[in-house]
Amino acid sequence: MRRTDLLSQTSEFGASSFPSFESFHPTLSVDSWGLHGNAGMPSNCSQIYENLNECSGPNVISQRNYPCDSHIRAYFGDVDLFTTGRKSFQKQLLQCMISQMLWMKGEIEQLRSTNSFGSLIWQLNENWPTGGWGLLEYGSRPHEEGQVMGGRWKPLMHLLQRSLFRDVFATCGVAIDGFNYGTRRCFIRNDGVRIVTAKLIIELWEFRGKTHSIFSKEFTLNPNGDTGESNRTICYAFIKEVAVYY
Amino acid sequence: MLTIRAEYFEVKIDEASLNSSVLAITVLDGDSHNILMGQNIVLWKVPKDLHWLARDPKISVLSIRPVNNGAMEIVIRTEDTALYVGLTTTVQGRFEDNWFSMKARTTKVSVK
Repeated sequence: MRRTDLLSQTSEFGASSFPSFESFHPTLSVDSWGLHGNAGMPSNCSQIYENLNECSGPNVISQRNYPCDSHIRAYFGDVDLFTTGRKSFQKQLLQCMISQMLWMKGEIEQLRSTNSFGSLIWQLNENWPTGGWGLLEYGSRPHEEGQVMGGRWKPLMHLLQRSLFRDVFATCGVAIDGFNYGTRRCFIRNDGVRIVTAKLIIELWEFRGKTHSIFSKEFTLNPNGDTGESNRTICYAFIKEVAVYY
Repeated sequence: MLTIRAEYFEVKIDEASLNSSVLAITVLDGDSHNILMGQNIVLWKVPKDLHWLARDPKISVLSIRPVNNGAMEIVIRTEDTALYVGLTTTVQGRFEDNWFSMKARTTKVSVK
């Protein structure tokens, strides 16, 4: 499911994922701990539209909603999804949730680079421990094994809290508006209700430990997020350049 | 100082850095003693094309110990940059900060 325009408000959009191992594994026998359920065959799924799909076959995971093969392969490459066991299943489910997070990150960053003043994500919580659109895992029955009160946060929920849905938001991507096409462009905006003085620090973190400071500046930002631009995409996140649909 | 709602600007990053690093964007509240307002980690490519992401960043749990009011404190350290570090538990409750990225050679304390 994805939004269809870049106008002033977006409702509703999202990406599906499986839950964490902690939430999911009590609903499966140990023999089925694997993205393909240890059946030796992939989830036999067909796309109806976008993330909505139907699945069939003896693979127990195929009987669950919203398989994750295409998500994981889009972001993590040609990984072996037939492996089974605790560690393999944990990794597969984590990669699935991170795929959901990264796809939504690209969507929301692009959205906030435009004159958009609202976005509603489908959906907040899961109805049971399976593949779904939720940001929170199943949490209505915390007494059941693997579930906690209110539901664990999926990675996307953490990212919304940490950056994507903060009033003051900044990111960088690649410019696609024709002006200096392909350059690394950044923006900062304030969607809160008060004027904010924000100090922005941008660093490069190398894997092996060096940190390079490349930008530091203080901004005074008026509220309500008006980008001062027309309704066009200004900044396009690298990470969005993949499709995760079946 | 220019007062605006949003501002666009460009940063110069060499191509080599795109393959060996991530961008860490930190926003601090200049009106409130530089309180953290948000932090955004930007990958320049999808993970499958950032081969260093698959390496073991060498994260270790330095300690887990009870603290006040039945809470537990966990101290972890990473030798290399570690993205999307998650802490989880099968008991009720949650860590005060259980999803974060860590610079290389840093230590993180979280309380549940």
